[in-house]
Amino acid sequence: MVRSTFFPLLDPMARNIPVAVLSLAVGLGATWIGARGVGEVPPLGALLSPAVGLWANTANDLPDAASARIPGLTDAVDIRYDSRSVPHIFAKTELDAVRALGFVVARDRLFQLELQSRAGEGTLTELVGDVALPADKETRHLGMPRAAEQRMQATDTSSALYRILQAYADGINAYRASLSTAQWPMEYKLLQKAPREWLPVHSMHLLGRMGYTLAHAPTELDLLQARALVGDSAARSFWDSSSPVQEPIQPAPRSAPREALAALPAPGAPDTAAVQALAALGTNAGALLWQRDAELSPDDRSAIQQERAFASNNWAVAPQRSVSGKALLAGDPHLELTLPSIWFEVHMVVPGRMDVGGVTIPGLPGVTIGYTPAFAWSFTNTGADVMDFWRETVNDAARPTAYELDGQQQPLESRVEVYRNKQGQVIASDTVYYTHRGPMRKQGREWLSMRWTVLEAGTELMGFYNGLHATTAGAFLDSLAAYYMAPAQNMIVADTAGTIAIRSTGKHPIRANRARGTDIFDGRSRANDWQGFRKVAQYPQSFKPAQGFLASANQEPIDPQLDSLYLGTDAHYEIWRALQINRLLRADSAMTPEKMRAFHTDPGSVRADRLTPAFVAAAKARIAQGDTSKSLAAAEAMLRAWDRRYVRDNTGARLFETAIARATSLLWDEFIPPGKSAPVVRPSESRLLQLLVDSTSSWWDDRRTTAVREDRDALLSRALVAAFDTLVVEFGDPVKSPWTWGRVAPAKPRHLLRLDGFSAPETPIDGGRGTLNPSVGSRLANFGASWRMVVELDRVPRIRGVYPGGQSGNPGSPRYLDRLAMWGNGTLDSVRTPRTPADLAASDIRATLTLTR
Amino acid sequence: MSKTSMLLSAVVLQLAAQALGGVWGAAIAGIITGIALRDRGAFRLGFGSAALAAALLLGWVAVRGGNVLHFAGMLGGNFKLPGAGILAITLLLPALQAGGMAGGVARLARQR
Repeated sequence: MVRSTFFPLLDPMARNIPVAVLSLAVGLGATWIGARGVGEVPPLGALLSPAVGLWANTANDLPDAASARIPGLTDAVDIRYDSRSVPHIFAKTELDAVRALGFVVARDRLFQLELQSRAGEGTLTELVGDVALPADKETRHLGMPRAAEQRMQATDTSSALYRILQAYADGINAYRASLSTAQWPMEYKLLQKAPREWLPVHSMHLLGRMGYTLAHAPTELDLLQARALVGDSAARSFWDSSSPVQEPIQPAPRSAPREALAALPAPGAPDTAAVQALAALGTNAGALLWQRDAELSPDDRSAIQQERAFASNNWAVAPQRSVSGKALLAGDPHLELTLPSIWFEVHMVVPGRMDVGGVTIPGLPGVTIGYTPAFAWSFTNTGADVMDFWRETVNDAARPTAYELDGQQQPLESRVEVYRNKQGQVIASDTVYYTHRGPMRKQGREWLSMRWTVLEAGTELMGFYNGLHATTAGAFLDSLAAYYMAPAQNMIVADTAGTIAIRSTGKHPIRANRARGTDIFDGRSRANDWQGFRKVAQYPQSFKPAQGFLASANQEPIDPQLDSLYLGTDAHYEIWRALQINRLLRADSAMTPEKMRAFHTDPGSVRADRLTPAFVAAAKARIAQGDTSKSLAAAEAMLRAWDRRYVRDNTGARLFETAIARATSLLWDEFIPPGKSAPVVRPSESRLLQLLVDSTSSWWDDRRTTAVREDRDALLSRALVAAFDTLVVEFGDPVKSPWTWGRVAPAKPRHLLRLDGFSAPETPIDGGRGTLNPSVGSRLANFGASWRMVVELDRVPRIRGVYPGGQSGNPGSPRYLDRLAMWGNGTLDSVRTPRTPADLAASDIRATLTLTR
Repeated sequence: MSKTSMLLSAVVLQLAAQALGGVWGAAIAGIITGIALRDRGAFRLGFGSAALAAALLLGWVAVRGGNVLHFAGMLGGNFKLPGAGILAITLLLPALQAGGMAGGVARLARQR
C-alpha cells in the first residue's frame, strides 16, 4: 500500500513495464556489447562464443583423416603428416605438389600468409587498422608494391614461373574456400576481417618483403653525419673501410684470421661540405629517406640494428674432416622470432621428378632451406650494399614532372599511393615519383632517387625449382646463380659425393669508376649510374676448399686484399661469429653431426675472449693507481671470475654486456651533435679492437669532461663501474641475487600481432651476442635462430632440425608451441624422409589428407 | 510442463541457437523462451539455460581436443584478465543476453 501511494506504477500489473524494459535493456545491452563491442572492449560475444568464436579454434585442428578438393588438380595427392606434424606431399606432377603445398601451408598458416604479403604490399592498414600506416608508407615509398606488380605484369601467363605461382594460389584459395566463419583463424576473428583471396602477385610482395628484411641497410647518411662531426678522414675510417679483422667467407690462403689493427685517425674538424649537405637534406639528427627504422630515435635505431645483427650461420665440413667420411652441413638462419615461426617444415615427392624437404616461407611456393636425396643447403645473409642514392635536379621543387639527365629533361613517372583502413575508407594518400633509377622523394631541400636490387628481383623461384633437379652441389649453386638476384645470400651446399661449396649469390652492383656505394651520387649524369653487376665468376665463392671446411656468419665475404671491388663496408658485416665458428672448425678435424649440433648453441665467444681482458686489465690498473671504488673492485672480481661462456646460468655475461654498452656510449661522444645528448651514429663494435691496442688514442677521451683527458683504462673502468651500479639497481645485489643470464636475457618469440597471451613464455637459452646463438630479446625486438639444421650427407642423407614454435599458427592448437622446449635446449629432431607413402611407419603418422579435383 | 522439462527444452533451444546463430543466437533463443513461458522465472530460465548451453558447448570443444583451461589463460593474457575471468565472461554474456530478453519479453507478453 505504501509503495502504491508513492509510485502508482508499482501496481502489480503496471510494474511489469519498467521491469520488462530493464530486463530487455540487460539483454539488448549484453547483445550489443557482445556483437559490436564498446570503446576499447572488442565484440566479446563473437570472440567468446563457444560455437563460433575463438574457442572453436581450440579443437583439434589436425584430424586423423581428412579430404578436400582443389580445382585444377590433375590427380589425387596423398599427404601424410608425420608425428612432428610435417606434411609429406606425394603428388604425380610438380604443379600438383605446389597446389598441395599451398593448401597445407594455408591450413596451418592462413593468417600469416596474408599478414606477410600485406607487409610487402603496403596494405597492412586494411587488415590491422591505422596503426600500420607508417609501415605501409615506408613500404610504398620504397617502391616495393609497384615493383612486384610490374614483375607480375611482365611475367607471361604461360611461363613456368606464373604457373607455379598460380598453382600455389589455387591451393591456398581452395583451403580458404573450404572454411566456415567459425573456422577462420583466430586473428581474423579478433580483427573482424575475412581472409582474402590469394593472388600470384602476393608471392612477389612477400619476396619484396624478404628483400626489405635482409638487404636494406643504407649507410650513406651515417657517413655523412660522421663527416659533419669528425671530418672526412676519421669518418671514412669507420664507415668507408673494410673490417679490421678478416675471416672471409671465401677462405683466404692462410690458417688464421688476418688482423689489420692500425691506429684510427684522430677525430678532426667537421667537414664543411658534409655539414652543408646535411643542412640541405634537413637531417642533422634525423634519418635519411628510406633509412631502416627511421621513426626510431638514434639510440634505439642503433640498438635495434645491433640486435637484428643478421646473425645467421652456416658451415660445411668436407669428408676428410668428418668421422664418418661423409660431408656434413649445418645452418641456422637468424631472423625475428615470431609465433608462428617464419618457417613451415614440409616435404614434397614427385616420383622421378622431385624429392625435396626442408623449410618454406609461407607465401613462397618452394623450399627455401633444405635437402634432396643428393644434397643439402642453407643460407646466410650477404649483407652487401645493394641500395644507392642520387641527388636529382628537378624542374619544379614542389611538384616536379621532369628531372635533368645528361643535359636533357626526362619525364618523371608518378604513382599516387592510397591507403585504406579496415573498412575500406581512404585514410591517407601521397605521391611517389620515379626516375629511371627508382623511387624519388624529397628530403629537406633535395630530391633523392634510389636504386635497389630488391626492386629488380623476381625470378629467384625458378632458380630453386631448376636447382632441385640438380644432383651435385655445383649444379645447384649454378642454377641459383642463373636466376637469383636479391636478397643476396651466402649459399652453402654439400652433396653425397663429398663436395662442399659456398657462393655469395645475388646481384652485386658495380658503380661507375669502381666507386664505392658510400656517398650520394650526382644524378644529373648517366655516367654515375650502376655500370652493371658482378659476373658469377666474380662472386665470392669456394668449391672443395683445401682447408676442408667452409663457414659464413654475415662477415665480409672476401678479403679486400684479394678483391678490392666494393661489396660493402665494415658497417654492413659482423666479424665475431665468423671468428668463433672458424675457431671451432679449425680446432677439430674429427667432426660429427652431434658436435655440429652443439655448435649451434655453443656458449663460447671470441668477442668476450678479446674484450673482457681489456676491462679486467683496465680495472686492475686503476685499482693499482689508488682507485678505491668498491663497485670497481667487485666488478673486476666478477669479470675476472667469469669463464666468458654464455651458458644460461652464468652470472658474468650481464655485467660484460652492460659494460660494453656503457663503454661505447662514453667512447663515441665525438658523434654527439651540438645540443644533443646521444650519438647520432655508432661505429661497428669491431673497431674496439683497433682502439684497445692504442691506449692513448684521442677517441678514448670523453670531451664532455673538459677537466680530464681519459685514456683507455680510465674510460673502461668508468664504464665498468657504471654498468655494475646500474645492474645493482636493476637486479639487486649480485651476492644475494646473482645476475643469472637465463633470467635476465631469455628468448621470447612473440605473436605476429604482438599479443602477449599468444606469445611464448620466456625461454632461457645458452648464447648471447658474439656467440653462434646470439638470440636477443628486448623491448625493441626479438631475434634468434629461426631454424636449425644439421645434415650428414650419407648415401641417404640424415637430417635433423628444429625451429622455435610449432607447425600450427593457431594459438589454440597443441602444435603451436610444441617445438619450443627442444629449440630452447639446443636439441634437434630427426627429420623423416620417406620416398613413398609406405615408407612412413603407421606409428609415425599423425594424420592424413587426401586432395582431389 | 515441469520445471525440469522447461529447463531442458530451453537448454536444447539455446544449444541450437548458439551453435547456429553465434553471437545473436542466445538473444534470439531468449526471446523465444520469454514468449513461450510468459510467466515468472523467465529471466532465470533464459539466464540459466544460456549459461548451461555455453558450458556444454565449451565441454564439446574439450571433447574435440581443445585445452579449454589452458586456452582461457592464453586469451586472458591478451585482455589482461585471468583465465577464470575469460571463462566467466564466456558463460555470462550469453546468459545475460538470453535472460534479459526472456525476462523482458515474458513480462510484456504477460502485460497484454
